[in-house]
Amino acid sequence: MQGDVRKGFAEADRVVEFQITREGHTWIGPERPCGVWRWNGECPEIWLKHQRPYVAKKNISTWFGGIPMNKIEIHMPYQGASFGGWTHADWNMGGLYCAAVVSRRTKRPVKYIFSRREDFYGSSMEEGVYFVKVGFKNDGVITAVDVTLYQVNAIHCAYSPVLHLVENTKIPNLKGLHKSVWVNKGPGVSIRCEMLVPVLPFTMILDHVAAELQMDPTEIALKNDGFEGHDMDWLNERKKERGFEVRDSLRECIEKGKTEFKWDKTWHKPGTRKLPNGRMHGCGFTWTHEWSDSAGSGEAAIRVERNDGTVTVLGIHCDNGVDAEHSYCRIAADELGMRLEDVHFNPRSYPGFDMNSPDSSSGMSVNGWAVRHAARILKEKILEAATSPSSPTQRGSYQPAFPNTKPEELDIKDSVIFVKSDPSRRMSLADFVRPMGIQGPLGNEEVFGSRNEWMEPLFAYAYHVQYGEYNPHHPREKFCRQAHFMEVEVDTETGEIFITRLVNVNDVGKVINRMGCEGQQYGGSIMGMSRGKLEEVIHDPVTGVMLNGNLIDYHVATIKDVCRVSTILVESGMGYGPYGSIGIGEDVATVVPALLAPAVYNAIGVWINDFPITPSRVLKALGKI
Amino acid sequence: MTVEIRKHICPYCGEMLDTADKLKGHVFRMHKGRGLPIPEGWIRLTVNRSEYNLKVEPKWTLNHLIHEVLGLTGSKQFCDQGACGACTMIVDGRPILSCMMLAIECDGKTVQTIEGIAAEGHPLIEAYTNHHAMQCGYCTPGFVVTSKALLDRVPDPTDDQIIEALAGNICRCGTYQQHIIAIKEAAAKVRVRKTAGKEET
Repeated sequence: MQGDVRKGFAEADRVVEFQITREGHTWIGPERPCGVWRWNGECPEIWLKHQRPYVAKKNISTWFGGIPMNKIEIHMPYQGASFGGWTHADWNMGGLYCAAVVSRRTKRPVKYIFSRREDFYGSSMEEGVYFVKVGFKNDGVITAVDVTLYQVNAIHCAYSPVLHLVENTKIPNLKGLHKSVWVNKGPGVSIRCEMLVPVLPFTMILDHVAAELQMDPTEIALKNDGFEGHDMDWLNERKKERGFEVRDSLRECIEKGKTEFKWDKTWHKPGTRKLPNGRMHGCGFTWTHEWSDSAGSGEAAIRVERNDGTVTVLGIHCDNGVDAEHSYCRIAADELGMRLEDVHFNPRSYPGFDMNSPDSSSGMSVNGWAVRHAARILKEKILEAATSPSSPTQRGSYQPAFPNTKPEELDIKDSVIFVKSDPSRRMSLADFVRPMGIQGPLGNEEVFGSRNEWMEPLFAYAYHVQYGEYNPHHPREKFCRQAHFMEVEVDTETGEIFITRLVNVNDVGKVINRMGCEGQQYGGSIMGMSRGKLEEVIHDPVTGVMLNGNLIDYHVATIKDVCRVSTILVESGMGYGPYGSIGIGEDVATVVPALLAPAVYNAIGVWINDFPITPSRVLKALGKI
Repeated sequence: MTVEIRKHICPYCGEMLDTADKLKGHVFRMHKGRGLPIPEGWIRLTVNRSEYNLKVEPKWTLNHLIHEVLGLTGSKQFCDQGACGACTMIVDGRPILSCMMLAIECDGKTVQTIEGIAAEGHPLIEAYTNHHAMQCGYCTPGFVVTSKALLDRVPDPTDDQIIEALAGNICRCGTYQQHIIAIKEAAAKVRVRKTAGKEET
């Protein structure tokens, strides 16, 4: 609840009410839940598909009357994507527990794997019915919103259906009511992502207001942009307080998107443009704020390998395809002054450092910080070692690699240490650490007759704690915005929808891994298109039995169902992550499904508020069936 | 009293003959020049240019044989019912869904898997990497194998031909648009290689 909705509706020039329904859709991780359990005596060694290695380890430690955590060895092999769902929730561990019991009894390693049908269990959190009431002025400023959601089997904590209106607009009066209805279906769980609940009504509300006023929806967006009922002037003050350059992220995103989309020439009044191929043309727009940084902590360590001077990032982390590993290597390389190819990160085995694994959009915002901290500490250690006597023992020491020099007079670039005032005085990191000798850290004069140099291990450890947006005691305003534009063609004879263009503009604060960011943009868009027009878990209304728990009857978009996606990245530097970055993995797939509704409305002039928007729903809306 | 009737069965055609000499004569006349027959339940298979004689169970799919028995784990099982294309292999020049083909049906066939395509240094591998035509990578082998079969058949495919060829492959991460770019780049390199090869010849 925010403000007084009764007062807000009284102040409104117009009030509209509508209802949204959303059928459940599900995760479809390519690799099904699986794992291997092996007992090494009383110590379990486990290979597991799971998004959170540290959570898995903690759970396992409670089994069999308690297993000390230091005896549990977990490997997180490359595992395909998971998008939350099974591997996000603890019940995935049931299969592993069975494997552990069988392994104990048979004294052999045991593998378990779910069938595809078994993987179809539960569906997305936003399944339910939304009753929406919106009050607004004739100029497009919204004065009050009241949404009541009846959500199906909400086992996770429920997010208010007006949460994104709170976090993203200056609408002063908001009321969101969430009721969970329990029926004989699987649970509704967070699947890329739990914000599906507030995002669906957000898009529908803003675009319904634009439609009622026959205004451009991008104008409605700019008129209502803000935070917790505050306008942009207030938000700009908060940007200044945090030391950010004051930029209007939404306006930048909209302008770039409109230019790419040719919006001003493309957008038209609803149901007014018939194409030469007989289909109706439509386009839609929606927007949102930066994705939240969940509270969490991450650890990372970095060490310089002896003898060759390459660098290894240490940490366990679920590799589910977002290429975070490359991003962490890039951060470590840039901070240390190393060549990217000299830095490596294998997140799959347990080195003792628990990274924050894919968990909302907080991977980069937590682990990126930890890697950056560790790299900075390590660089100081390297430069300190380079200017200090080497191999100090009772028998003396060797000259420093850079004699008569202070650490602050040195720098590292391209994996080479050099004196800043005289770059000709230089030594590669490999040459610097090479005297450590092939025997390892300790020279063995007794055996080899000569004394090797040795050096303190060049290693650094760091961690980062992110309080996170969800922590009510540390709310952080949201500064970065995203804008999404979609073009469709609708065949009014068959009801078929053809998505012909999609433009995504994401202010990610700072791009660290461009291919990775763009991958999340077009990848999320394609999942979003699939969710918007195809995906629906169908249950027998009488028995509750799932009728399409397989990939033939449950339709996932193929290359023929989607269009090419344009990707534009904006770097405002106003994010919560390292270098002002924000997460991008969850935004697009969550926002795009709802965008289909205003695009189809613009094409046929009739609202379809029920998802997925299938051909039969289109024909029904047109009164043809 | 029982009378033992011993029959001598031709291993090639199953014909029963009364004596060993008659069987020898029969084999010499009817099946001269053929290699030794393989026992029932065995198949001959060429996988990535290596020849195998394999005992297979009737219930095994080709995917099970290649993945679990031969240990070539590149092909993946995603849907297990011919809906996703992740297990695609090239069998006698055609892309097939290995989860839908019984291993015992494959006697005498030639199979190419993703490992074989990688081993021959096909430009698709580099192009897929360059254009980030994967995210989690689980479906990628199926896409690459399907694409290889396309390029074998159509050296210079159009966008529509690529889309048609890949229509049976599902990528849940949504990388589809990158595949088109990667395949066209690889196709160009294959054409250059072929041209260079002809000139050298």
